[in-house]
Amino acid sequence: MVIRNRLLFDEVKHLPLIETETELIKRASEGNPEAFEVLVQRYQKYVYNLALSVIGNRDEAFDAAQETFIRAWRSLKDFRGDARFSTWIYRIAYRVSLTVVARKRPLPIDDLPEPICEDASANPEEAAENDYRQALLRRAIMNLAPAYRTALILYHLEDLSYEEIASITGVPIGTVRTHLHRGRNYLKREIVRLSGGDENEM
Amino acid sequence: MKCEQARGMMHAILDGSHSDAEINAYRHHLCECEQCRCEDQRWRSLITEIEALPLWKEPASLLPAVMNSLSTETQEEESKIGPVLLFGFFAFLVYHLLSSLKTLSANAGGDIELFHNPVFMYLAWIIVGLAFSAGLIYFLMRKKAHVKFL
Ligand SMILES: [Zn+2]
Repeated sequence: MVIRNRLLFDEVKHLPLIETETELIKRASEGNPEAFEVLVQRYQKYVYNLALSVIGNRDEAFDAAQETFIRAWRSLKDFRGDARFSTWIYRIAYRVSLTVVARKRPLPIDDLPEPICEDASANPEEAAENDYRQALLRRAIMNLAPAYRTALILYHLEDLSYEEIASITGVPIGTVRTHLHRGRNYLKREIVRLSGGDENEM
Repeated sequence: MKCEQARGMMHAILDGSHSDAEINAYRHHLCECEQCRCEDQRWRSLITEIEALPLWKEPASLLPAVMNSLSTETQEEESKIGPVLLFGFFAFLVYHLLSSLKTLSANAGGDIELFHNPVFMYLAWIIVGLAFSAGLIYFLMRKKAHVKFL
């Protein structure tokens, strides 16, 4: 099994770099795992983040992301290209994540700050302050209710529009807007609460 | 415009979902009201901060896990071919056995009544035909779809 996957990885390197997404989807829907693997590579980060935003737990987000791609593989033949592929796979990820949330007792929200070391040249104090702010912000986001968290992450981090979020989550655009605006208000309060500061000093 | 109105519009303005006229009225209010200007600035900073957050990194094991699952799934599907083909082969064998018995019986001068029963022969043909074609079709379809996986 490991050897087979190694082979697949190696074969991916030889795929034409300019292969369009449509071609990849077509080949994957014909049962070509190499083409599907490229799609997984492209979308795994976004699918994982969507699952994490709905579920709030890394392990379960991992399982949900895996399940999303397996379902996508099985139903790729049904993908007609009416919506963008990203929207289609996000919808699957959202449904799978909701199922995970519904069927299990709530697991603790991950206390997630990831070390962020993007700017090695920055002043260490500044970098530490930056890391602290990012960790605080991430924690505050994860403390939000799932609907607000999802709207916030999809809109601000995954850069989707109101319309796309509505299409993925199956709620009206007005609701997405409300979730987003309320989410930001709650987020602001949560940051103040976590940092023990004054709202007007933010 | 009053502060209350300006605050009510703030999020939508930040998302760029207001008309030019409303944006102008909002800006005009900000020029005159320091409190709303500060509030607007705080929201803009917060949004800039949120948008500067990198996405969470997906675990490195996600891709191999997905590809392993697909591979296992395909193997499980492939393993279903065996029994189907075996059943087809068995049906074929039964048919030949019956044919041979019929021939032997005829050669020996005797006869088996069962072979004259049209219902039995009809059912036997249907079972043999169905089992064999099901196995063949299934095998050909899987071979076409997943030949690269094996
Ligand atoms: Zn004002």
